[in-house]
Amino acid sequence: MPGTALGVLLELLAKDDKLALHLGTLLPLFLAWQVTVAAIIGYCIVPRSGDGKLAPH
Amino acid sequence: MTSFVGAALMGLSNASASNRAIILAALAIVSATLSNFAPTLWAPPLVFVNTPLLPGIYFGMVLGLAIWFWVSRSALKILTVILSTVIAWAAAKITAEHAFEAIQHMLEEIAAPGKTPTINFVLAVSGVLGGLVGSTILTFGLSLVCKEFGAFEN
Repeated sequence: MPGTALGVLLELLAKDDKLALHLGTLLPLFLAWQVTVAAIIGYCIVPRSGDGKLAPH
Repeated sequence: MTSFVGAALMGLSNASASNRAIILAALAIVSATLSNFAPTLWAPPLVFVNTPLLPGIYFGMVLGLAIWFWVSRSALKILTVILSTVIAWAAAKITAEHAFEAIQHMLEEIAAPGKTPTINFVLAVSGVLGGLVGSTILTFGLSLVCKEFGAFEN
């Protein structure tokens, strides 16, 4: 869901004077998208012990 | 020295959910910076179907590291995650480009002859569609490796 919503940041790729957010760079999209998705995956990923069972927290 | 590395790896393997999120977010900052600057600075473009693959490879390595630390040491699973990340990135980019071209084509059809119409937020709409496709493929790839990933209660 956040990965979908953050696609809005592609608008920053445009480079003209129509909107102040037209910066002409993909860096904010890469930063916001990858950091958010990585944090969600890190939070939701389930650690397992060697025998395949869920590791105790 | 070896015991220090071992202790650090053990600490990483036993990290709490919030610590895992922080560690991966920090790695993602490096990946995002490389994704933006590496293709123009030093790395070869590595283009496939008109799509630079490096951003997907960098982010895939971050997620592969997460799998290695917290899910499985299986090379097959790590490769699955890296590959699904690259596919997700390429699909997202192709979708966004296709959506942008389709919207532009529709605008040209309804505009007066000889005028090239532009409207705001076309790229934003295209980006949302690309993000939807990329997120879906990535979630599917991760759920192949980590069955519990798709469960919302986690």
